Amino acid sequence: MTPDGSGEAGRRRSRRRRILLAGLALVGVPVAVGIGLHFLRTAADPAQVALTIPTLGSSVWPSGGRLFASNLLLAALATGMALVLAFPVGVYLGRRGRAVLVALAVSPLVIPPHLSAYIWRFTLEDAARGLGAGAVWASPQRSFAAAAWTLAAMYWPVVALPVAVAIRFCGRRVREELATLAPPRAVFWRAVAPGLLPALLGGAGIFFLLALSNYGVPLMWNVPSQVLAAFAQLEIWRDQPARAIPTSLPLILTAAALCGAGLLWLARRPYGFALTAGPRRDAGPARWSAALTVAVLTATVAVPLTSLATYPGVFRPTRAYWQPGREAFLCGIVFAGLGATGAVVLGAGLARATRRAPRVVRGLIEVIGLFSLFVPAILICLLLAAGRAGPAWVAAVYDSPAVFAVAYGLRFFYIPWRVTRSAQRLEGRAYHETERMLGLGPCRRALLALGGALGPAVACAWLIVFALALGELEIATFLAPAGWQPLSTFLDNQMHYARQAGAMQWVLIVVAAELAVVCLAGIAGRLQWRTLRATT
Amino acid sequence: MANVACDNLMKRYGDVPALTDVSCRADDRGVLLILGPSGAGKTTLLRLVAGLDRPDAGTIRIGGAVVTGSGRHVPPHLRGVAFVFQRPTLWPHLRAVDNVMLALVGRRLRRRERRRRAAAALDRLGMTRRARAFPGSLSGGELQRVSLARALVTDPGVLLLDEPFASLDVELRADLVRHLAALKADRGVTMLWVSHRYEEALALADGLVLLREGRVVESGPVQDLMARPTTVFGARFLTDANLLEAVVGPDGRAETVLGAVPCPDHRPGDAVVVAVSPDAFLVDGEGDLHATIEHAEFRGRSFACTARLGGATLRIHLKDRLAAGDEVSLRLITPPVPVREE
Repeated sequence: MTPDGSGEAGRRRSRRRRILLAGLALVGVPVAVGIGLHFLRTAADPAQVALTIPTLGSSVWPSGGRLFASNLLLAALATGMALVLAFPVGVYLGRRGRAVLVALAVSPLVIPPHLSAYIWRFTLEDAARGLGAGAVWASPQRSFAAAAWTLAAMYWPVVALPVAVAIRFCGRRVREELATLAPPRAVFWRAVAPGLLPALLGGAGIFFLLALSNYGVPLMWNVPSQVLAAFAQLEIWRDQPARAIPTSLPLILTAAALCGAGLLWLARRPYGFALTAGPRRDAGPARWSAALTVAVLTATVAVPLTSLATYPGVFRPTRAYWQPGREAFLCGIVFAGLGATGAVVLGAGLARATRRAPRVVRGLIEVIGLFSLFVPAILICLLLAAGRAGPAWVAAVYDSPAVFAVAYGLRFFYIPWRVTRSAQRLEGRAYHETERMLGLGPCRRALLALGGALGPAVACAWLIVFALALGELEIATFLAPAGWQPLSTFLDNQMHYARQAGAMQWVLIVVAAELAVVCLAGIAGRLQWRTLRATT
Repeated sequence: MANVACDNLMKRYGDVPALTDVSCRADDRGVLLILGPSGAGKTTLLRLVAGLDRPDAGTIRIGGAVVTGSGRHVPPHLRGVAFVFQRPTLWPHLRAVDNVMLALVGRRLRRRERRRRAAAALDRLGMTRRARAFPGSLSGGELQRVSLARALVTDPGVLLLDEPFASLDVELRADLVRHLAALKADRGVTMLWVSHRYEEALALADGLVLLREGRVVESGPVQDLMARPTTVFGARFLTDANLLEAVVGPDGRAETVLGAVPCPDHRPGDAVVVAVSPDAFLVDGEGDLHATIEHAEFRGRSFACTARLGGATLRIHLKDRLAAGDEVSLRLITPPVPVREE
């Protein structure tokens, strides 16, 4: 080892690279296999051979790449808007934010994206009508801007919250030390703001990924998108899902590259430079960010929710839509429940099983988990849709509700994994050793962990995944077994056929249900905090 | 019989040696106090005895039977030992009595019998009224008493205490030491006790092992070692002794500012270090040591002074109220002893 420790740092870097490469390989190999299968299947069919090679380009780049370019442009525009909205709110939440404000700031994330898109659609249409603009959204440029705004209004908290956390954990001490040397404004822009860069760019990266792979918003605003094309391919080639791979390839590879670049960048610039400062609120003035925070919360939370609550007839259930809606709602609950259970079993189980595993194993799971959370849902749909094309007994499993335990398990396992890992870290080694001293068996150990230190954390993770799965559209639509229609799909169909009156009451119910579930998750999180405080 | 014997234990964590050739004995029903600065290997030694870690070499016997070594490693719960950690490890969702009952789950006892035994263990530690309380509502002392009850409910032959009272205040520590003294008297448990604040443990301890950087520096009966440490490190660590350098004369005695000190283990002409405890002095008008106080500060029960005595500066603890510049006559009540570099 070199005296300055650079040898150790170098080893750490190369280990991170290895983890990252292995993670990307784990995701890349199934995709490559899928493409290989695509060629094999078409090669076996002489009628298709002539079509394969010449049409591959148009499969990857439908409309000559214009769809993907539109997709990228939409995500970039929305990211720019989100940064403008999120930065002042993040600064205010970090410096002065109270629990109520944080809850309000999280609320746009609670509403399922496609429902948020519906709400924004009729909100903006109402506004346009009010201004006498009529069918203003028929213009593609305006549709594009509206779609970007919808994405920004939905996902800005993913940028604001990391900024708030970073400023709360690392800004105060630096600010206090520099307060004697320069005026507050100079201290903020020259010392604090550069320190927030990892959080800001990390949040912006996540936002970009979410915007890039979003399905509901381009669908609602008729914006050309590679995501829509990829799902359309999957719908067309239900029996041969491998054929849908080329169209989704640019999305998957872009997401993989962004995930990898982001992780490497964050690994080089350790997040949080002075954790010892502790989470405390500032006493200093924050008028400009307070005013902007109120404005952003009003524009992105109060306006759409008011618009939803005042929609004509939303509180008068329409008989024609009530019964099918109720069935779809129950179906959505079943899928979400199965999915949350699958994710918790996979995520919490992995966290428990790898408690003593080498860091490289845990790092690998971390990379895969993050990737599967942010990768376009088309990848999971493709992987699992392939099962339907397999032997009859495999197809029977993949064509049943059980597939959602796997699909949402893969999609969201990172959440219970991370929550359980955090809780375990605080639980400490002494408990593990006490279990050994008392000679407790594995079942009793697991029960003790679930009932004790980890119980509320696992419950919290289950509820969060349940809320996410309940509002999820893509996987629910494309993997639902025959005869099952979850609420997301039901609502999508209602909106597609312009039956807004019937759909809006269910949108209201789903939003209320999501808020209730997230509140329960908050209570479980609070309970976890109290539990840990009792043990540490 | 639950005596503990460790022979030639070696343990490394990566490149760092934690224990090097450590041997020690705890007699049946005895209390062995394990002392040393941070990183000396005290907790590692305790973990090896508990079976939580395996040594790289060496043997551990409990009650004469090999539990570690010679290819054997008895699991922790089958060794007849109980461990009390520095921080109580009680499961927050279980009541105090249920936490104690956990220790009996593998004993094939009826639930009623387990509950009865757990209640009895809590009763012995004065926790009957708090038996149905959850850990979150217990104080630090109560939590540690429940931990102790859980450790003792299985009637272990050996109790391993890893600084169990480090985070408690003086009164609670004294209270728990009284409980341990009662346990020692009633049930004759062998104890290995790691402690930083060893004053309270001295009341119970029979033997003492002093570790430094993973090696045994001193070991032996506790009262002997406290009175006559044999090494420079032991003298400093155990009694905060003054160390005086001298040369052994032809009569086998080293001449110091405190007078001639017999050095039977040294040859004439050898350089020797002589240790004298700060508590070894008494102000006495007829004392033959005349010192000038350079600095004095009140420490609650005595004055900690720095005194100039025949060209040497000594730390001494005196009951008398003194100030800088005072001239005093001192008498030695404990003779200085020669100590060796370890």
